[in-house]
Amino acid sequence: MRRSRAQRAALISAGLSLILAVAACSDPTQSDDTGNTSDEGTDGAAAEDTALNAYLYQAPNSNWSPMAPAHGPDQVVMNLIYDSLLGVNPDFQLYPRLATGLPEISDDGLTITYTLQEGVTWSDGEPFTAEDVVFTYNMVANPATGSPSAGKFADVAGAAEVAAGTAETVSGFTAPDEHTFQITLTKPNIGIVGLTGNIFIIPQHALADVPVDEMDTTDFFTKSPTVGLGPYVFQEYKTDQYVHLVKNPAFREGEVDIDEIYLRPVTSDVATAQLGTGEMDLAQISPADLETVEALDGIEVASGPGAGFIRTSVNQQKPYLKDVRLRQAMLYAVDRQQLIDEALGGKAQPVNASFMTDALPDDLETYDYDPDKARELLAEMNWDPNQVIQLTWIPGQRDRDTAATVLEAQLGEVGIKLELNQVQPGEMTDMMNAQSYDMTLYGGGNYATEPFAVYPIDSCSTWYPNGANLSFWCNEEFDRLMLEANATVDEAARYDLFQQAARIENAEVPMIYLYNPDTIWAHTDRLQGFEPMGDQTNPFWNVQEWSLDS
Amino acid sequence: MSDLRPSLDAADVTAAQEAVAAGPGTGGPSSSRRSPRAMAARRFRRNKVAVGGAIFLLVLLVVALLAPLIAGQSPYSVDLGAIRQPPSAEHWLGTDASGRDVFARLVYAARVSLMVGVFAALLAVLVGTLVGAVAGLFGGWLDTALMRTADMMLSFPNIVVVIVLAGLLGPSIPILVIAIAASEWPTAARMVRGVTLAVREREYLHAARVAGASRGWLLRKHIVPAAMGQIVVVGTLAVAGAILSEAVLSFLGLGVQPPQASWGNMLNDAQSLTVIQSMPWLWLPPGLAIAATVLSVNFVGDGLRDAVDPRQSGRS
Repeated sequence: MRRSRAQRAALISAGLSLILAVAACSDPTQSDDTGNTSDEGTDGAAAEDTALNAYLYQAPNSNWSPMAPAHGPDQVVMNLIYDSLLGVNPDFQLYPRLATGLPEISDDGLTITYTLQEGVTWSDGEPFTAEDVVFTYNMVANPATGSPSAGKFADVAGAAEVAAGTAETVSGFTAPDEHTFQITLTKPNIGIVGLTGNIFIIPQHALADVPVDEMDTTDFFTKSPTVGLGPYVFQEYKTDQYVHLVKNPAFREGEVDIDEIYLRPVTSDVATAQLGTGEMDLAQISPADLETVEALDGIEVASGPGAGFIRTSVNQQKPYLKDVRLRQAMLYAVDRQQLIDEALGGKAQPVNASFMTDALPDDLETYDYDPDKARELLAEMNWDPNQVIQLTWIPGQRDRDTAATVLEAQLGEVGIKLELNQVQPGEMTDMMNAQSYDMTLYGGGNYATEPFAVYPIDSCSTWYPNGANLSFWCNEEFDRLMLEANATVDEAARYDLFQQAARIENAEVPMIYLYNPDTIWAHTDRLQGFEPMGDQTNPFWNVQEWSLDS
Repeated sequence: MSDLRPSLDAADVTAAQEAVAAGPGTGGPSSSRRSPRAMAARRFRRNKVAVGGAIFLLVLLVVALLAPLIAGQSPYSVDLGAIRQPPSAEHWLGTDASGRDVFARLVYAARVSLMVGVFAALLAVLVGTLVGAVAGLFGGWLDTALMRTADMMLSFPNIVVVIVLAGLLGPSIPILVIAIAASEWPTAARMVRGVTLAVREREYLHAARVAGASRGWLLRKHIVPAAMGQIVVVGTLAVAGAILSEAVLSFLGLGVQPPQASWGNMLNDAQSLTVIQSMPWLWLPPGLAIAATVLSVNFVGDGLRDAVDPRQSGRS
């Protein structure tokens, strides 16, 4: 008995290293075939069903609400189950979805008018009207719902009263008729279309009875957001395994071709391996795997430039992280160009400010790799080399994990002690709420469509959870320039103000800019109609044009 | 010693000491002129596989202790100019995804893996021995409570217990040691309890008890020494289990945290399709290191058991 146990242990140990190495992770719910039939209960009867297995880059927070703090994987789901007035295409330009065209803005800049498509119905058959839009915008603009986007509506007539709790609805959101939605502003706000045109519209008839302050925890959003306008309808979320969606017969552009979608939260490594085995049909891959994946049979690769970027926020609520010279030293200490060239195979752009396109001046400090300069700055500010800084992030994406390792090593070389701390999404949210992290590594966002999108991540009034400022940085001059730009109708003057703001941000370094990665997608060649999107939260932007050969 | 048992005379003390020295199951004074310990050592030396395992472990121990001398380079120094390089004169086993020397990491990882393995096994054996001896000696409801707890722990799949603990308490090396020990102590506890129940009925124990020995004294002087041979065996095998658990947990990201190297988290790299297909230097060395170490520990454990308890050696 005993000897055989020892032998077994020895065998297991010998096998383990190989099994672990080879098998990566295999999903028990997944059948061995290529996934062109659905996983559950299709014993030939529904063999014509097409199901797409797609990679979800992290586990969802299971809060599919436009009022929830933005979490990329949840956004992927919401992009499929909800629809919005406007969308963003791979060129990061706005285009109409539920609206018939881009909104009309009055000459004085104070009235924005959307005309809605007619004959659209919710997935449960109820008609969609402008009242649903008014309801949605009222919810998102009301901080009582927990909405971190409420700040974006500050210039809307009546929004201040709602924020103060003296009014229940925003008087500036109106529906003159069933197919018209109007926003009335107290002063011109050019960015508001780009920032709020793509808010997911939620069904008034399903949510009207939910008290406003329970909106963020109601079952509709956390368990079963089954009524929507999107191309797919939410079916279920098996925790950490998959989100199951089926097509919406009532979708405004007609039924989509692919019957079901399974979004599977796995690491990028596993997703890549599953592309090879046929278990995954669509995945985002790491630049390091590009050559391997291109060599796979039946797999096509496409990439799009990103509109967000990978960064680490530096929590300026912590006294030891307040000095701007520390943050500048961090930028000088990390060889970001080499990180891009070597670890990312050149598939990324350098970043030195959050602004993009015409809002980005060309005379910014580029913080080229210069460890001596970093040491100088640290010596000047009397940095205590024994102070440990914790870097927290959600692991699983190879490029981010590598970036964290490089940060630890290269900051260590100039005398900044970094401690790496990998956490799960839920724990990350807790740390954000408690403002307890030192630095946190994350990515995403879209700063190419509308430069004012930088305001929520940088301004004094949008500190998390009132916005997405995770560095808790505050510069009043920066805020003033941003707000002035946003109220300036003249295009040239507007962008000049954005550039001034960008120079301040570039000098003050509210976050450690790392790189803007190209988003590389790999998909089975059975998938037709895929157009690569640089925004990793919206690969399905044109899913109605997709089909999956069996 | 005499202050503990003031009522005993000198002759009794000598008899008791002889019993302890001889231990149970060695057949008393007629067995041989050699001490049981020497005989066990001789039996162990004859077992070539076990000796081979022991030599490998000794070499590994030296490597781990002298890691800075042997590695030659820092296991943490990142070189973005040389990532995922194949083995070369400069990097004997190549470099990883951030340009760190794989050989240096392998050598430093031996420290972590051995340390976690040994400390987790020690802790498990310590707790297990105490629990088992107390349960066996006291009996009654205490025995039932302790042993049912042990049964409960044994009926969980080990790795799940460890994953839950590591997940709850956050990954770090002390937590890892505690989590692994928590899943391994019941084996030792049950074994020690068995020995205790057998020894409890021996005449020399009755004698000691009649003479007024306290339970604590019995535990220290009779029960633990009687079980020592088997404790060593269980402990050794527990080391192998602990090294494996460490590797699994680190592979899953719940064990040793980056940038520190362990064989398990080095294998983590091998989840990448590119690495598994075309960069064997990144996963073969840590994989082989785990396999060879665990195999050696098991050989030594087997050898020790056969040496301590020769009646078992023929069985399979």
